[in-house]
Amino acid sequence: MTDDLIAALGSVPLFEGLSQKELKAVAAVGTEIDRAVGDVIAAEGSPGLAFFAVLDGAADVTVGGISQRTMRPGDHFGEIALIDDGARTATVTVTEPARVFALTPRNFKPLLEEYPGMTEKLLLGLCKMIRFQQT
Amino acid sequence: MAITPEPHHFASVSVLRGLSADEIAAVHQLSKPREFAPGEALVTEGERGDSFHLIADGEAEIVVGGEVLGTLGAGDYFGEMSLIDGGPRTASVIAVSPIRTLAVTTHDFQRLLERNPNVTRKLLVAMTTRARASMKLTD
Repeated sequence: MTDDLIAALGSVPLFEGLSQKELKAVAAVGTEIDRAVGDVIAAEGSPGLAFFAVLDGAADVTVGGISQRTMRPGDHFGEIALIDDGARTATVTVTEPARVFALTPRNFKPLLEEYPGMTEKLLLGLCKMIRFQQT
Repeated sequence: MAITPEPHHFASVSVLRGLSADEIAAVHQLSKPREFAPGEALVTEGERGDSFHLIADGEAEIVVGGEVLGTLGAGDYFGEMSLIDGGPRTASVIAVSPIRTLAVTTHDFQRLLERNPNVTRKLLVAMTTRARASMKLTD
């Protein structure tokens, strides 16, 4: 677990209210994986690994074949699915050899029991995301 | 056309979707009747949101930046985000006719959440539907 990972997690709007201890707990229940150019980390419409943060390298986010953005170190993807197990709404393909932090809902959810204050913080984080989108 | 507010009206509030019948009844029990005269602001844009309203009777206009965006009538509700985050009102709601509502304060709702941690978890899941709908998120 690196400082880069904690910093990347801290920058996720959903996790905005989480304490350092809680962020470290989130980091601890995920895994870091290495992926080569061309590897598809997430496929539109399918379930699978939920949340990703790019630690090294780059990946392209596409919807219906159209590029939306490039993920670089510190960028993340899929945090809402940690809560609602939702299917992927975009495809993420590695464009530069990448090191990626990955976290599934199954591994994430027990944290909500272990850290009782976390649910409310995530709820407030979600509200903030919704309100921000409305301005 | 008036409605007699009943627990099931609260069940149709989007963020309360997923709550059990008992939990919905608990929210309904927290609610208190409020009355407003024509021209009165039920809530004001920009102000801290301290309550949620379900309209029992009457008509009101939704006003943003001085512009009327729509109307609300019996059975409609507003302020559900404020129940959770007490954030600023995104619109004013002005009574057009004499209007009666059932109001739940953020304060009372928060105390309910403290007593019922399960409800907080359900709100979290219900909110993701809102988040996905309101955002062109790739997720």
